[in-house]
Amino acid sequence: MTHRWPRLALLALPASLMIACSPERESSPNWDPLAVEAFVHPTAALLVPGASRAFLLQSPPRIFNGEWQLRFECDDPSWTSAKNAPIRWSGQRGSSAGWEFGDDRLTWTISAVVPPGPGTAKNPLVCSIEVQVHNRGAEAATADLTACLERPSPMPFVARDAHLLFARPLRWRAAGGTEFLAGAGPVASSDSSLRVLQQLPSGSSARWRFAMPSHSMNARALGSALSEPHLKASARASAYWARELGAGARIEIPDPILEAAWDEALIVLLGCSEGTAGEAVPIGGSFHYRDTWIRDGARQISALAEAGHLEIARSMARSLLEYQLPGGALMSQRGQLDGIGQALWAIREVQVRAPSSAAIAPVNAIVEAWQWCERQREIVRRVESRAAGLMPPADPRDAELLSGYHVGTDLWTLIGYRSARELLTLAGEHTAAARVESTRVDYEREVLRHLADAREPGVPAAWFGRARPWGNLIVQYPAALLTARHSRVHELLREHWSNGLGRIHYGTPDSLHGYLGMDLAVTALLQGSPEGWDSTLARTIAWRTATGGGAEIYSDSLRDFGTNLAPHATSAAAVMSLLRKGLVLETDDTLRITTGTREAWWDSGFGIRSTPTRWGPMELSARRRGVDLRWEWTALNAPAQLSGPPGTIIESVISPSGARLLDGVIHVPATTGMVHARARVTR
Amino acid sequence: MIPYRARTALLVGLLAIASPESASAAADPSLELPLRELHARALALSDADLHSETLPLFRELAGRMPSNASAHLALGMACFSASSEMELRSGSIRFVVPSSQERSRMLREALVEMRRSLELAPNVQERNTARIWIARTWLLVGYPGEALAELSLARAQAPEDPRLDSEIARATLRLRLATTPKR
Repeated sequence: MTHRWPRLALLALPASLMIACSPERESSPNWDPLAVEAFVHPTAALLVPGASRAFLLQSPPRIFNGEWQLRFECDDPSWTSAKNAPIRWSGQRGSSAGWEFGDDRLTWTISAVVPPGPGTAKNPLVCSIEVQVHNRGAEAATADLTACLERPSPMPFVARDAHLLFARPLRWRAAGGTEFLAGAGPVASSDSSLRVLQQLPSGSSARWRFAMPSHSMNARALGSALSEPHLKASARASAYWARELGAGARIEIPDPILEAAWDEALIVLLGCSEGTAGEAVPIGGSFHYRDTWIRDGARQISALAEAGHLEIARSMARSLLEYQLPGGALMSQRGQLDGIGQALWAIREVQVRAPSSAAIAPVNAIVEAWQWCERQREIVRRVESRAAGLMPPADPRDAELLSGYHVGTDLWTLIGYRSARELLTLAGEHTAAARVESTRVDYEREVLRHLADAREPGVPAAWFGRARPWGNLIVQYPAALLTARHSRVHELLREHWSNGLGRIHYGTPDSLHGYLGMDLAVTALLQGSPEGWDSTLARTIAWRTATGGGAEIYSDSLRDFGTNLAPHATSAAAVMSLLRKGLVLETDDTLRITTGTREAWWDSGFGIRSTPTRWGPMELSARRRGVDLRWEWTALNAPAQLSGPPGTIIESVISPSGARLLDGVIHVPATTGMVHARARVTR
Repeated sequence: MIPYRARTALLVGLLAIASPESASAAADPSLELPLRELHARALALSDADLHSETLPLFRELAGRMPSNASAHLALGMACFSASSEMELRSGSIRFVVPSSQERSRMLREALVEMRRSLELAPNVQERNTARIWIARTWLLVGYPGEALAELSLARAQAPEDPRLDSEIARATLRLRLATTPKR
């Protein structure tokens, strides 16, 4: 990276402070006290749902938009700790983030905030940045800061709509200029560097304001953005995210880290979208994964539906139909045959939670998808007898590293059949639903026959040859092909958690996966072994950035995700899904309540508000007083099973009278909404 | 490797325009020169591997010769080429059309246009040409079963078509297992 001596834009004169600082009220960051950075190189993402770009924050302080970055530099010793300074929320979660570092003389705080907006090339987002420095030393000091606009080499990622070949020079806003610009600061500069210098008597502070657009921006518009005080921009962003996070389901757990994790997951799930609210498309990540993979989008949609954000989930689910090809197949990325089942499942995940709303998918789209799969299976039966009954081979060009017959393709297609049946039934197409169900039963029998022939004791990733695990991990949840207590399921869990409960590595043992274990964790819940769920949740929560971004794959020993930047939408879906399913799990016709909890939650009480289920919206609260356990929830038209605190044996059920205690789990009939039981503590 | 390039499509299109069968489509003498110019421009862009940029030209050609099977086939092939076009960008190999939704729309247009060509084709030979390209498209996006289904229809129409043997073998090979035992 070339370094040019920055233009001296402002000298240390008392009057300069007046110029440097707008007359707005002082804003002081409200640092997130729960923030813990898991990774060696701190990063954070400032996201706006629907926008085509997001801002990547990295340490030492720099902000990148996929095309250029604003990097701060300072030679003062107080910047030594800036190199690895964690990036934390500096206000309402989702709205602003920044850095705080320094030494015993100068303390620096840099806060970045992105108010909501369209976030397109025509209407860019503007990141408002405020730098504050405070001299807490006994002597006067000089604050000397340079803000550089530059295209880093290598770039952390390249925005999809970046035009690097014909890129304009990066310029700060000059007073009265009309050209397109990359940033605005407290003073005008015609260069790509801007230097501010301030004498600070002991105990005094200085403050500078900068703005950086997501796309190059007209000087007038950038100036207009800068005219909005940082405090006001923060207030707008805070109000937006407070409203978004307040909508939908809310968990209430006496564990502030988990409650924050729920919010942070929601920020990522909402923020990893493009388009308007009514036409949102899911994207795999906010930076380099800015495209739709049905495999990720389906998880995102499901998590948003469980979290009660049905409108955007519905919009995203509808967007998956854009991938339907003539004949019925649904494919976002070449060779990913599992996309058909995943898309139907995602649509189902939303539709069953809002059954009275209009159908997301037309009946013919569902029927054609099912018919397409049936046709493929028939062709395979004719051509390769050893694979009779299966879907064709796939070359997903993803993690599996195999072009061949993938078990995951068949498991997802089976889920697709089940989802199609449910969707057709909801649409009143009972004849079509019955035809789908008939073929599903036949298909399931064939898949079970192939599985019975498999030599390995668990569930292979490929029917023939070897592949890395992926779709085979869904065999129990959500595929429900085998019971949770089936020996092959036990073996699958044993094999994948051989290096630690809930620890999923990928490729080499040092390479950990951020979300692949979530289905195994739910499987463990269904086995009545919540320890696997708990460990998976703990690992998923622990391996996040200080603002809650989970990575896809990262090195355990190096604590680094390299260029596969966080946040990943499916990692966020894993956090949300694990928390929600621990409290309310709907995998079949039974509502499972508090299957995954922590012992420490019970004495304070915990619950979830406004979570949509397939039987209607639900509230839940649970609490322990001494040996008394009480659950209250919205009475729904589904039988329920209730689990007590981990390590506790439920001795008896006091009410209702229709409840039964079976293997330590309370079974109650449909429309029950309250249980009172007595426990014996065994720990 | 299937030589699936828009250049081939362009040649098909050029031959069609030059052939007597297309005389009715190009009956208006005032259209003859612009059509050839359109082809020349499309060919130049295709030669430069700028497939996305050929699309407006092929769409215009197909629009101006709505009954010409080859024009629709050429458009379909150009759409597919554009949907899979890659470039080296900032050190990474990426799709020229970055949005998978947009690429999916192109792929859908490719298949629709090829199917239109199949419907318009005046004889079995040209119908099979369309089917072969439909099959190749399915194969290249990872659906060998659908490719084989299309080729089976072609074989039923013209059992002696010598082009089908290798195409069917290629699709069948993707479905058949090697001797790898079951895991």
